[in-house]
Amino acid sequence: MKRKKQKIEKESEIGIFFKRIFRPVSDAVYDCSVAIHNKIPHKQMTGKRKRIGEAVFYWAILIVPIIQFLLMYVAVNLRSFSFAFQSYKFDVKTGQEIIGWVGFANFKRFITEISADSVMLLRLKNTMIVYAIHLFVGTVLAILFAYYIYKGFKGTTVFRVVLFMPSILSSVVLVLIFNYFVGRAVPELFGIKGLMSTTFEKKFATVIFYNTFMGFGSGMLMYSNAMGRIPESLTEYAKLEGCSATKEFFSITLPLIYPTVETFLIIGLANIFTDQANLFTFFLDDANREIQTIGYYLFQTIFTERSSMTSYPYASAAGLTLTAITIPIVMVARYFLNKLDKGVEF
Amino acid sequence: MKKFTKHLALALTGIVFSGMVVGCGGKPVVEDNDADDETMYQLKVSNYEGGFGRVWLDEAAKRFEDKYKDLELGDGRKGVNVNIESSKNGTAGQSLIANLSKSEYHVFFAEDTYYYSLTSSNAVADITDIVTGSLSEITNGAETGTIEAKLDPTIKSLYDLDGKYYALPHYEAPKGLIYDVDLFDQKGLWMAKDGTFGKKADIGAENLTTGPDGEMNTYDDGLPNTFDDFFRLCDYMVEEAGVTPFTWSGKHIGYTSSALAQIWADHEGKDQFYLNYSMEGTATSLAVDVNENGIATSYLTGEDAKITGDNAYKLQRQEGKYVTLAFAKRLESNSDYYTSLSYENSEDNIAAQKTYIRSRVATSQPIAFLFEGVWWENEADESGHFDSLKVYGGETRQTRRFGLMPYPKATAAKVGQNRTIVDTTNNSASFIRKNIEDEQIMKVAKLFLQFVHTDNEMQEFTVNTSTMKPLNYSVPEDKMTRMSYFGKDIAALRNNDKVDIVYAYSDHEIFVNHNDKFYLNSFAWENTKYDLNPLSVFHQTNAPTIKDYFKTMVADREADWANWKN
Repeated sequence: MKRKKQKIEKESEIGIFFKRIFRPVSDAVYDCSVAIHNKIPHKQMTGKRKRIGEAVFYWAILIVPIIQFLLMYVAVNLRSFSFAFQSYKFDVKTGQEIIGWVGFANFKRFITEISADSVMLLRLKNTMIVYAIHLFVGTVLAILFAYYIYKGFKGTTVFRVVLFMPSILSSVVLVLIFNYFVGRAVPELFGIKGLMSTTFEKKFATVIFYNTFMGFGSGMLMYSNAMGRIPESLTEYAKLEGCSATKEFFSITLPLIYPTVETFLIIGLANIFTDQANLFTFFLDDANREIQTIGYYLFQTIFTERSSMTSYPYASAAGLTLTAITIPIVMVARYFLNKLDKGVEF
Repeated sequence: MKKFTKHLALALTGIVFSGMVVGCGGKPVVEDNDADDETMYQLKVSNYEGGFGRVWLDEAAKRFEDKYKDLELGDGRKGVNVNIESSKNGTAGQSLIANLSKSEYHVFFAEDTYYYSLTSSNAVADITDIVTGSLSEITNGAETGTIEAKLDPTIKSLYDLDGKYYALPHYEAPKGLIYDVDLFDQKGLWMAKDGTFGKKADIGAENLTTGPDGEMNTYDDGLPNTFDDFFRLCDYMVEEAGVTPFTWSGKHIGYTSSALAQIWADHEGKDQFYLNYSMEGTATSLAVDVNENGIATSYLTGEDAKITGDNAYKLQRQEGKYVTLAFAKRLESNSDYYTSLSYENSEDNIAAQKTYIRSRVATSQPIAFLFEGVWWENEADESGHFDSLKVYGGETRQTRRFGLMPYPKATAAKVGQNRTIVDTTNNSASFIRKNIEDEQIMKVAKLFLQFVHTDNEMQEFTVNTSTMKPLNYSVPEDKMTRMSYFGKDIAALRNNDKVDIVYAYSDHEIFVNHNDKFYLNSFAWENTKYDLNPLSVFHQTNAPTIKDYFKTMVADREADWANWKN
């Protein structure tokens, strides 16, 4: 009770502080807007005029995202489609590009590699491991920590800061700090070898740990926000009925935040083959093959400064093939996840 | 207490964010008072500030401005001002080529700019006139030849497109084995013919090993002749001398992959190694099979050994590859041979340079060898590593003695064979933007590019960077006196008849269309089962045998070749 009172007092102090600064500003802005409103002549709008006005407003809002969508999504993907059926070569005598159509040759090559090439299979396995850890460890822990924070248990503020801090810092800086920690501090503290300097398995595990830990912030924020929307009357009623925190979590909180969880699961599934697990930030284009994911491999195929246009057709075909694999998986998952949704609205 | 916590939180946040600010920063742009002077020709130059830095360019620009301070091209402007933008961001690779036509710069010194990517971008100017034109005028008669005449035939075969040139290769960039000559002297690591180690004065010049060149009284006397000698030296360093033999960058594993590939080239020799690029000739060392130690047990002969574009995948069988794997496995087998940072991801190339340079003067565990590129000394200098050592007795880049060590030969039978060094030049190139609207600026840009390819300027480049340009020139004695020991060692390779440099260039269709596949670190060790870095592979607890590695590489290259041919 005492703590709660202190909190209220603290909040009011902050409120007074902000009021002192912003109140005069907001008053001045309001006075201005009233003055402008009074000066503008107001005609009664006819129905047609009103409809045109609404249409103009509607399109003014939509035009920017539509242009962005057409340029950045439609045009880019159309180009990817054409790339996938092309080959790029150089004319040895003139140094100019020769673009040819090769049908499904690029697809055939990728499918052959991903079904038989042991390094590609390893990348596929790594991709699945990254997704599984993200799903079973990352998501579960993010929900549990979000619940912990939502309930305001001991150390909530510390957890909130520590777990959310990575989300507001540059990933390059974080990777740098983490690299030094696992490579230099850990050996000094525990007398063992650096976690990234022994076997590929340990290296990969360290990268996964980093991804899981750093991924908490955004997930936790979304889940705790969803939990924050749960009506207080509902949880108070449950408390009066003698509902424990665990029961409240499974019977009230989880069903009510299910749409958020579902969205995250589907997004995670859709990104499965593009997730490069921060490998590029860790290793640039020098990651050992044993720890690569499909997402990293595709990124590396195109991004490396040494690549030329000759790499694009294969990468496009690979991307399209993986999209073709992902779409039905996402649709089926969505169907079953929707079935689990109890449709509670609040 | 609460106040303390607040201050602590503030301080920690400050540290974290100051790190971000520092990380985002860069070298301040050098002030240029003439940058806006419209009465002068304002030439804008973009420079990739990697290992070769910018000092060489700053100095070349000054000399150019001095030489052409009275230049008039009939439009009222007089003299030239060279504005240099030197950075790592957007000054190299595909990102540079993609934005070239929109660039504000006129002349470029870049890397990872593959020649055919440049020409097919249609954004680079035809520079045939300055490449094939006489240098007599620009050198006031000191040179009468052309830049074209200074190009190695293999480089020319790629750059000459039906008599037209659009760029020039910028610098040589082989990776290899750096050794600390001072440490060899201090710790007595020179090798005697009887297999003992000591200081040169104690052993006596006539009792030193010949070195891999097999000749006495040459630069490599006292260095190990063979792999066996080399690992005896490593054992001596560890057990007797208190020296750690190796360190390298744990982050940039491509460095060690490429540095090891030099052993492959050295074992094969110039002609056999160049088959990988020309894809035309007869191979003499294609192993049918190898034993567990990487020694071939039988070879392909006759028609089976004839190499064409259709079957050049067979070169994956070259014996040099397998002896290199044997070397790598042996090096990896003893963790006392290398520092714990050698596999550490936080140890990037700059950090590895610092670890290496500091080790002899600032620690009790000096390090003898570093796998690195030849630009390492210049990069370490421009990163301030040598300056930071002043507190340890005033040793500087000029006084420290390092060398590019000739790799030992796999067997005694190979001792005496020419030393072979392979160089991809990192696909570095210098070129001019095509769509320069100001005709006079285009003339000045061409003049500048021609100027930096005169012998005098290339020599100055070498003096500054301790590296060579991939053109035919040598450094005279008077300029050698201004160079570091390492720079002299590199420059001397050009004048050594027992050293062959193979430029990894060719006009073969497969090479041209799959240039990125021929990049040395991946080209050498490409396979679909194991990592591309042999040291990383042998570092694992379940590492394959050399024979397994061999079989995988051979089978996979043949499978890849079908894609490369199309």
